[in-house]
Amino acid sequence: MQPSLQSLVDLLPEPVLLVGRDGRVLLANRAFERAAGLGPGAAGGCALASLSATPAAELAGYLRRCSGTLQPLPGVLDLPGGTGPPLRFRTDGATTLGEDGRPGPVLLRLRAHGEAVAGFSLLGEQVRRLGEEVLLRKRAEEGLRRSEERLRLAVDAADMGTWDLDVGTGMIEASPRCRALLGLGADGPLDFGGFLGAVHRDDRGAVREAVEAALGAGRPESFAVEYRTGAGRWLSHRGRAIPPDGAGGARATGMVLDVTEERRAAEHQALLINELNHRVKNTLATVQSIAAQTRRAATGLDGFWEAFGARLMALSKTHDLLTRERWRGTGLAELVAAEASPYQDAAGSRVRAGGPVVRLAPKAAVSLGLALHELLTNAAKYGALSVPGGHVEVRWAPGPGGEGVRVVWEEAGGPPVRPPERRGFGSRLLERNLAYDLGARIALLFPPGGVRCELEIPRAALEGVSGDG
Amino acid sequence: MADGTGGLEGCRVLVVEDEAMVAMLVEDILADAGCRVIGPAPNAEEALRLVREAAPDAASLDINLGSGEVYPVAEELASRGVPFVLVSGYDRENVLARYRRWPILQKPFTPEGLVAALRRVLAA
Repeated sequence: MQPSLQSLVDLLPEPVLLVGRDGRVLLANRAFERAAGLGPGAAGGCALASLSATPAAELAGYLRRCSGTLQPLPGVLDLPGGTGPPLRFRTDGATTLGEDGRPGPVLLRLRAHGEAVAGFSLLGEQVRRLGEEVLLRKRAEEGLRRSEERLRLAVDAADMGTWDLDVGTGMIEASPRCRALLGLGADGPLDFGGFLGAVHRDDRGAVREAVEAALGAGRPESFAVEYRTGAGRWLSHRGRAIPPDGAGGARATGMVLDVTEERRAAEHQALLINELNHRVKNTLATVQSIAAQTRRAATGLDGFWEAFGARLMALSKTHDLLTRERWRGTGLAELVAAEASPYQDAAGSRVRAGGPVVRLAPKAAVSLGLALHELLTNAAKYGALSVPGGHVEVRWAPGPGGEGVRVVWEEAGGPPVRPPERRGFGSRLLERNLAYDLGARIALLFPPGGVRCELEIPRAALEGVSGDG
Repeated sequence: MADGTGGLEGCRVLVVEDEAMVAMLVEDILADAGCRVIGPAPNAEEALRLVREAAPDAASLDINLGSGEVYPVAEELASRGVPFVLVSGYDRENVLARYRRWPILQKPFTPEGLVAALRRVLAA
């Protein structure tokens, strides 16, 4: 607590006063008031001339001279002596300086006849120190205000709410942001029970436990707890419990932050990882099946290895296309081009593909990619791609009624075609899997001029229509 | 096969699996074990129809079908006292708790694993 200037000067035994440039008393101590026969506070605001017995002009001249010097200027001041003659005091007067360095009021010190002047400088020093103290205090207050403002700005920018729990009363002082985050009204008293009421029912136990554990530690103890509000927002609540000390009772204080988005991102990531795992497992099962089917048809280990490797590469190419587009789907043209690439020539004349832009859902793309691979392998072994002059036309157009897409595979320039005696994995995969995975209608035909495959892919197998199975 | 994949001769097993390639694998495994395969069904609607019309002895159910989950089929089978095994590409934690008493096969699984699980539920 800073003493007031008045209380300080009242402690001085000799009469002291501050006189403004207009000659009015700004401050007078009790000693002066007693000397002048006045009650406490009676001198303030009065013209010094009206309190004194000294001729006004003489007094004004003395004060004017004092206001021009920092060196104490001796003079005299007569105060009315009540019923007796006036009391004569010797005075020392000098100007004070304001914070801006400009002359301020005149400081007058009165003393009895013959007293040394030395004391004056002591008084001046006291007043100077007092001024400094006042200035320092003002600066400290300004610093604290700025520091608080900085903290408030940082808290606002981080969208934090702040709170302070008085354990003794159970009352919480919460910032407006804290109340808003908790879904509480802007006003009204808030106690710990009211706060817990704003927490999601399922999380109340954990929150209470965290706060109580920190409060029960018997020393300053931090705690952090994340919980849902009744409105389903996720809040991160961090605080510090402070046991009772000299400054006050037990309390807990801290901040609260909305972490809903972070939570959602983490949940989304967990979901993605789960989906990726699922996809990997399904792909492994698909590869397992390809291996099993290839084994059934293979005549030897080398034959197995060659056919299995080629099918694995076919599957991998579709995966590459899908990965490039984050498994949303892929274009039919891109799928045909990727699967045909091992059989294509530089001019692209061996597998001639074309049609409007068609986007396939991931599952349809995987299935169709494998089917295209079987057709291509068959053509390279027995059909149009087994001789230099042969080629394949793959054309597509909107399906019947403009729904879905109709794809026609047509081989030409190959050796004369004879229907196969036995259906292998290739045709089983083609005929059954496309029907199963895409809901497609398939016609695999063996006219002498070249193998012909007609596919009707329903709308449901196109991107954006069906989900990825 | 005389190893771990026999012992289901004549058993009528419903196969529910939405991926054609995997369905083909399951079918072949079951056929090798002497089963008669019912299906495969790519979705729950088709599977439910087969449960009612073909009255299987057991079933192999892929949990996550592209169009939804297989639980309505599991429910129907359980109510008829038909045992089944569950197949999933997801972790066991993703399986509804009340179905965790049934064998859960993680994809990919071995032929022996599938046959042994079916034998177990048929014997119970």
